[in-house]
Amino acid sequence: MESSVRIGVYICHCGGNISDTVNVEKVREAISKLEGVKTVETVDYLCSTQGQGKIKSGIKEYGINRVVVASCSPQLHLATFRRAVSEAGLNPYLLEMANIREHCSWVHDNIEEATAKAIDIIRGAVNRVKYLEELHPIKTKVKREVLVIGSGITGIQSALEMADKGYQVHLVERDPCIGGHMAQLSETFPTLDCSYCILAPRMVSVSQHPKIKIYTMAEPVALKGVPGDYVVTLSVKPRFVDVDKCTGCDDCTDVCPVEVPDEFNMGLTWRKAIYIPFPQGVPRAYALDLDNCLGLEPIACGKCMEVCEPKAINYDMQPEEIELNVGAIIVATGYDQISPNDFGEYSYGMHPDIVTNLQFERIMHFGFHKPSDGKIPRKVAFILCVGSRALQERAKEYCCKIGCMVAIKQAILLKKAVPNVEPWIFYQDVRADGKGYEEFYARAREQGTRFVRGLAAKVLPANDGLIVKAEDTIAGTPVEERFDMVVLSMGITPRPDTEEVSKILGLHTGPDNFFIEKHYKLNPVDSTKEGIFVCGCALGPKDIRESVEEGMAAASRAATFIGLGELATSPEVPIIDRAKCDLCGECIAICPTAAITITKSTITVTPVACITCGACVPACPREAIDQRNVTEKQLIAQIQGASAGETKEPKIIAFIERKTAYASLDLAGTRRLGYVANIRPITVPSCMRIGIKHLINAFAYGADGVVFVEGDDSPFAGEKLLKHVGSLKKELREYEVSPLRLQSMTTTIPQYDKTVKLFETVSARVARLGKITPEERGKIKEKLET
Amino acid sequence: MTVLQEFEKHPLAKYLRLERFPHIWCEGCGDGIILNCFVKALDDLGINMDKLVVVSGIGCIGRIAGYIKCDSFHTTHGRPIALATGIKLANPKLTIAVISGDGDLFAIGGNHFIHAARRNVDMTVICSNNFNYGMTGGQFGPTTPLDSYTTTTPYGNIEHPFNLVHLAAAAGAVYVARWTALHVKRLTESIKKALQKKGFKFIEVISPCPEIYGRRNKLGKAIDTMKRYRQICEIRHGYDPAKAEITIEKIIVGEFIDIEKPTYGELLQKQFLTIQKR
Amino acid sequence: MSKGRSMAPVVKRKKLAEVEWKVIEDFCKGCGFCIEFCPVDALEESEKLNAKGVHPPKLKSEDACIGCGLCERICPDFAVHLETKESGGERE
Repeated sequence: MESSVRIGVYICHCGGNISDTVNVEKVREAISKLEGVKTVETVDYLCSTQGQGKIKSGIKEYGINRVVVASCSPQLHLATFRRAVSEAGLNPYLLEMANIREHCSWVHDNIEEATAKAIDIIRGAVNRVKYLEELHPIKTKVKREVLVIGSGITGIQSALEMADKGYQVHLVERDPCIGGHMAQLSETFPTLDCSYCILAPRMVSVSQHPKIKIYTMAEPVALKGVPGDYVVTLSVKPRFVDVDKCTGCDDCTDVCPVEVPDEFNMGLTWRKAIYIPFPQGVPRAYALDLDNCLGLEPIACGKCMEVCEPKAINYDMQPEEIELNVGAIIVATGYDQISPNDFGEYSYGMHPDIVTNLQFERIMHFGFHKPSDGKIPRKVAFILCVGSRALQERAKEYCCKIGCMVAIKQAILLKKAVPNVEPWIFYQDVRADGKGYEEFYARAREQGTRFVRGLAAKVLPANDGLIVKAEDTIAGTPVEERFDMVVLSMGITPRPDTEEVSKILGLHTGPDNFFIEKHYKLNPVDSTKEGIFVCGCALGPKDIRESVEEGMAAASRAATFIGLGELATSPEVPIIDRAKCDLCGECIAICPTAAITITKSTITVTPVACITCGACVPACPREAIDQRNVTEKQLIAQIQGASAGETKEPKIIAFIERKTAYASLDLAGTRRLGYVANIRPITVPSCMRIGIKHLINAFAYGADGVVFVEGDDSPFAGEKLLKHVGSLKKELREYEVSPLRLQSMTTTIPQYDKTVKLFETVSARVARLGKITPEERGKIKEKLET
Repeated sequence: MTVLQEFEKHPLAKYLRLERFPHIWCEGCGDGIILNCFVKALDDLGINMDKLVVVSGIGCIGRIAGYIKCDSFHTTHGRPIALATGIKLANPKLTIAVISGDGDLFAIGGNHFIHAARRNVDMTVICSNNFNYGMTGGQFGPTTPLDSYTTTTPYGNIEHPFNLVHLAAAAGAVYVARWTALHVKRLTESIKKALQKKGFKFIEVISPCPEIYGRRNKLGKAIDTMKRYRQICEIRHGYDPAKAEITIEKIIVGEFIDIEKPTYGELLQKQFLTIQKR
Repeated sequence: MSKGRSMAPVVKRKKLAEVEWKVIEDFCKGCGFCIEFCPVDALEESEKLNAKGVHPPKLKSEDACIGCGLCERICPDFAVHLETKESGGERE
């Protein structure tokens, strides 16, 4: 501690919220006696302009260089007071807040106990501030380039937004052309815009934009680096056609002898082994399907290359790997549909006129002809929810979100093209919740689409068509009708490569296998990893409008992330004493984000990857690691300060993980849920920061029990924390302290009552063990000092 | 129908001396494929057979001069390039193809090779590289891989082999390529390209020698060798020929060099004219 | 992509040119290149033995050959070739 430390302590009345329960005058008196404290003031509302003014003037008047604000939760006003001391010329990290409201005055009734607790808490804070150092957020440069994975409408929108904002965009697509599923659709609901017509201008913009680079036949295979400075490796499959030379003349497809089912037309037509997915594809270049080509090792046929005038075909193209250095990543990998093969009752594959809704989009494109005989159908059944909203293994629990509207649209378009056609829609519920959707639904009914509330049980091919068996659940009668065509509305799934992409990028997927967002309501397009954003159907089924919204949102988020050109990260990072470090690697093993690495026998901490949990500190067997702003000196001083002070009841030090567990305890305060007053909370980045040294200090200086409260979302919640606590309990025995005096729990924010209950339980247990006698404490202190 | 009558119906029959068939090469020998691809290249180019000369040396591949229906020379060991140079100087309008083996071209004929390449004499040299002297029983030669077994290296070859494409490029060849007997279409295209180019062109063709080299080194039948080519070959056009090694795990094939340089004949002609003017 | 239990073949191949596959049986030395490398697996060893004591190749079925010409090029012995259907002999 510097001898020049001059501490100012400011205690808030909080308009009675504190002063009604805590005797602030008594507190002031007790605190003013502490070493280093130059001034203690009680103020009515510290957070007000006048309150803050008192702090600022106090700093000037008394030459204060360390400030303790004893008031409400720092989760409310830490930023306020940091700004205030900053304005007075003091580094904001030289301020400490002591929570004597949510953690004290709001949860205890007994004035004496509450006051004693407040004094202990503030004493702990005063001890801590003696060792505080000036710190500044660590600034790291970020790359002003972004990677967009997936080039459907969502990826395209994201790419255009980012590029128009001035960032360099790398747009990666695994197929030969961009566009995604939207290019396959006929018209979009409810406006009946021609889908391709509204997509094409954006596809062209993307291909011509000077800030967008498109990589087709490519996919990400590795990710390295840190948020703001990611290095992504792309694997590019050979197209065997030079994109710049190909003129799209189509001479090659004329001579190719191989035909395979055309994926773009959902298997309804054939394409050649050399092909372009659709005639207006961007880039307008063909691709050779190596799996179906007669072969290139050795060249078996070679006819396409023979006839190619611009000499664009090159059988010797090799796979390539490209490394991209980007600041942020946007994932827009899109959706797929469940296979109708798992639904044998609908006889898919048994008759060519039983099709999926996506196949029907292509049928509409070609003129509504039946696949079987090319004639126009007279009566078409649309069966909704095939594989959605069901608990069977072959199906998905969730609603596909678009099935109802797609069927309604298809029925309306069918009726427009074939005026005397009879469309029937078999539904569970008609979900028409978007803008203009209900009106669109009404239009379908007005035009004569028949709606039967009851999903089809069976579809059977018959001599002259298809029999659909269902139940009209409103009328309560069975339905058996003959149709020319049956269209199945298939459930939506994430693309099959979602799992692979999530592994490569380190993202989480939910139980439905779609990517999960950081927070359902408040961070809907952030992924669980910093600097990576997810949007569109990769997150869950949705229509085009919502996909575009999310694409724009993800671009906005990505731009916020890399916009300032630098990231400010917390300075509370570990510092390693290289003289003591023997490169044993224990810190690396425990670090959840690989923020510590060894390169060429030098140990390095990467601040931007560090989540400042502090788990590495007690893990180091050589005590070579310390943590800024949670230094050993600061922590031990605070523990000693909070443990001192006589109490009748056994004193429990509660180490509270600073985010979730802290919020939970705050919430107990807001709810005025009373609990035992012998708890002394100390904030830690994670309970993993606490080692045996800290526990023994607590017991030596006055604590009778210790509790860990860790957030359920901590990377250590579960096995890792249990292991840590287990080994600490063992070590306690060596100091002749009963391991029953240490307890640990995890909690979530809403489970504040569970947190409080633990305090009661531990308090009772420690009471049964009894307070540690002064002699015992003396022995512990002795052992500590050796 | 007699065999000859059947053979007359073969699309390439008009380029071959049918009465000499079937040829003497073994089952699966790469030489047969080289003949096939060479003649197909002639067909594709519609080449004037009266202006083509094929020169070969001593070895199994040396028989090739006898099978092609054009003015051809089956010369003494190592000397086809020397002869070809003479032919070209005597009648510059002729298209010359030298087709010979690894031992013939690079051991006894090595010196002719490097100087013809250096001078950029206009000829196409196709080397059937089977890594040994096959015709004479299977002795080791300048391309035999280290540690391989031949009649004259019963304990394993202790000599490092030449990297032929590297040698050709270093000597100054204007077109250098390597293929195997498997790469029939690409080899045909390479031959076409070479025949149409001016200068010293070199194509190395790695060939199976199942009865001699293959048997001695336990490489199985020719079909096994061809399958192996498919597994381990990597096509790398423009690769640095110095680095294009042939190992057990990898064979780098492709077109490595394709440049333009004035030929020996062109420079000679130019100088004649200059002198005459004086 | 939902392909379904389709009734159609998954890959269709058609003939590149109107050619007939032929083999000069007594030239064949049984190397097996044509059978191995045929891209549509149209060839197999026949039962009969030729003058050299090997089994020359034969087509598995009449329409199996698509006329790509790889076998003609890779045959070291000029045994396997394709003839145009009308005259037999030179083709374009």
